[in-house]
Amino acid sequence: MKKLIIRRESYYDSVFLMLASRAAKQISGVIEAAAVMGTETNVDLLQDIGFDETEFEDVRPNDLMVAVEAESEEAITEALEAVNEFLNKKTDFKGEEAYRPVSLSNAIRFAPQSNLVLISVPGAYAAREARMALNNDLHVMLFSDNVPIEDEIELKKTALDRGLLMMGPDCGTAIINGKPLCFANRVRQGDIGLVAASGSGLQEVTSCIHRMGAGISQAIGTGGRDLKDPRVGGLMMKMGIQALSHDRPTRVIVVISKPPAQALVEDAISWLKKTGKPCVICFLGQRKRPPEEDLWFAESLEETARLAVRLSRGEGFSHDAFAVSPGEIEEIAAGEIKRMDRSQRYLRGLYAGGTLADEAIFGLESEGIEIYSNVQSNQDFLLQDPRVSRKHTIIDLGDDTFTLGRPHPMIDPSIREERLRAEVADPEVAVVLMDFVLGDGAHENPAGEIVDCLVKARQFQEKTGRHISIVASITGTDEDFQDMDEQKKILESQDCIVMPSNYQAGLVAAAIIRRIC
Amino acid sequence: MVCDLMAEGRIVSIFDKAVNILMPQGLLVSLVERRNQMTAMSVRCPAVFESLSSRRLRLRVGDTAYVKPDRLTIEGLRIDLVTARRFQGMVDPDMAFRFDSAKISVFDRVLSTLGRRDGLLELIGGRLSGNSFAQKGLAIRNRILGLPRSLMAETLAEFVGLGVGFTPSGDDLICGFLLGQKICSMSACRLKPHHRESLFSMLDEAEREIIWGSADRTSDGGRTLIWMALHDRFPRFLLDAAAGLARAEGTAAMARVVGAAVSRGHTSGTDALVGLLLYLQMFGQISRQ
Repeated sequence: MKKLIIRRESYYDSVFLMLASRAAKQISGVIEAAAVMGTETNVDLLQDIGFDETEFEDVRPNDLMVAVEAESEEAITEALEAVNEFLNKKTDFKGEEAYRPVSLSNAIRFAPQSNLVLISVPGAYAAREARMALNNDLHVMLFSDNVPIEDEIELKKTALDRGLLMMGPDCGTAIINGKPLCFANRVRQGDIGLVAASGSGLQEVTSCIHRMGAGISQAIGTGGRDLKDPRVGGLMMKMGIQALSHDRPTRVIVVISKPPAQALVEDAISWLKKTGKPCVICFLGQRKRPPEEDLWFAESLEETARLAVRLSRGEGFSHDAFAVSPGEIEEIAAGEIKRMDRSQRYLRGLYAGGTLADEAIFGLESEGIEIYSNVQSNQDFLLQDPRVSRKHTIIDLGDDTFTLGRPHPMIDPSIREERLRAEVADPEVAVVLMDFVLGDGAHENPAGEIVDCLVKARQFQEKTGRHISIVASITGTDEDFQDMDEQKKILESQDCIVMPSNYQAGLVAAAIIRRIC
Repeated sequence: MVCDLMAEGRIVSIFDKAVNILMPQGLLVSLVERRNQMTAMSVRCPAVFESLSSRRLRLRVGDTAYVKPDRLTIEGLRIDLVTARRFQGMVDPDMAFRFDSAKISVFDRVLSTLGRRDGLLELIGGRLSGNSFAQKGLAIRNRILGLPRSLMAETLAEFVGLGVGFTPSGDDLICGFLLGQKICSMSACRLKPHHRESLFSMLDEAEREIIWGSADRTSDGGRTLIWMALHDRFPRFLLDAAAGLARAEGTAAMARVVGAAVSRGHTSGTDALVGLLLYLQMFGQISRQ
């Protein structure tokens, strides 16, 4: 008996065809099997040797024919099944899921349903990639920094014209439609929308909102320069506010920024007023203003979250369970002081989050404590050498000085470890303030990475009779993969004071320093 | 030759070591990984295959390819044809002059022993396999021997599309046959005039057209192979084999050359050498000077 199967327009290499034939021949009862192309000569020949000519209808030279001759119908069926199975196993390359395109154009082809591009390439090339994305009608999150400001302005204007988001350059955090992008925390969905020119600030506020029981609709990043440089003019901040004003699930709008350009402060306020939704503004370092219409001003990131949640939940909302009372803070400070040596008097802050460092600086300065820093806006207190602390010092370890050629401290905490060892060895240090940032993109165990250093620090302190207060906050939620409770336990096991927010950690540090001074 | 096909094509097959692009002329342009895969219609670009296997590059059947004189582009991929590793596929005259018909019987013996079955090995008196395609090929061969010169091209054309393989055995045979003819014609100028008459002269334009006219009956791969051979361009592995045969002294040396060539594809290497040997057996009367 003879039977044929035909695969139209099939390109298989000869060895594969040979193996396919062999698969058929191995079936018991098969006399002969051949995998050949549907050329005229082959068709004629197969017909000559008895294959039914009706089976060759419309066969073309690039079609594959597998001709089987066998002793029985069963053998033929089995043989053809074996061949089909063999041919179906053949794939060009394995596993679409393994494919990692390395160009934007290939990525767009591979995933045409995508609508956002996250770009992290050296600054010299970033604008080109962002431009290509925008021209393909894709929203952009541009993590890259060192992008010329002229490019930033041009990209943002293009994005505005096209109705697209252009988050960045230097945008490290966003949560879009519930998806954390770059450094971001897992938070519940809700009705509070945020626009931020601040990565760790956005993380702190969204985490606090989650821990206060509320949720996020969208968290849009603008990049650090958006509100800082008048030439950029808050282009993306404005667009983000407008987007949230039209976003139905968003009932409360929050804006966060490091100290903005003064000229843009009133602009931002006017954009928010036009939304018709209750809004909270946190311009760190700005003097607090009384509320205007439905616009509320916060001085700290925690207060921002608290106001937003109250606006979302109603006036009756209370956040008491979240905060530590002033009385408790004073108690903590008193207990710490008792364990210290008289020579100890200074505070050192070692921060991974830039905005968290800023918040600590502003908070402590508002308590009358002068702070030196590598990110001080007051030139009198700008550190000459960021590697050497002076009196009360807060260091942003994510600044370029420390990250050139090295991963950001949120990814690689070892840079903080080095600095911590140096500070602990300083006999005048009384308090060390640190942030531990969890979430997507961050180190899998930031507290664990530093615990050896903390153990050695405690051993050193026992030897020298000095106690250093290590005050920490954890920016994160119970849904982040690092296990927030476990992180807290690790730090507390080394006698660290872990506060619910960066702001409150600053309050504890200030209370200790006030008592020392 | 790749540049001559300036046009838009599409990818029709992607293998681990080759990507085939079908051009509007019905010919395949191939991206290949290895040196021994090269033909006049291929571009060697190992980096592409490295990127494909490491999933940094993805090509799909159906993707459009643009061939221009200086470059070949497929979505996201650009290959510079000016500097790319290409192969002309032309017979080295020095090799042709070194070819010695005294070796033909050794070549026959070695190929019969080492050649792969399932193709057209039987045409040179190899092991009988009951292969229908080989039996048909044998019939064609026997007719060629008895035919007047004027019917040669038509009869040769009956091999087009015959047999197994993506490039059917008959097409590989034609390629080898035409190589034999080319080698002999390049050697002929060194022979005395009366010997030249006994040699089968090169196919003229009309005869090439007859064979080319039959090429629509075969697969894209076979058609491309025949087209190149009709333009005196041959695959690298076959030219290397011919050069090796020209240099080989003794059975062992020849066996190494033949062994390497027959490992090409399933029966492609065997069938091409069968074509070469057939020509040499029928018409080759070359003596070294």
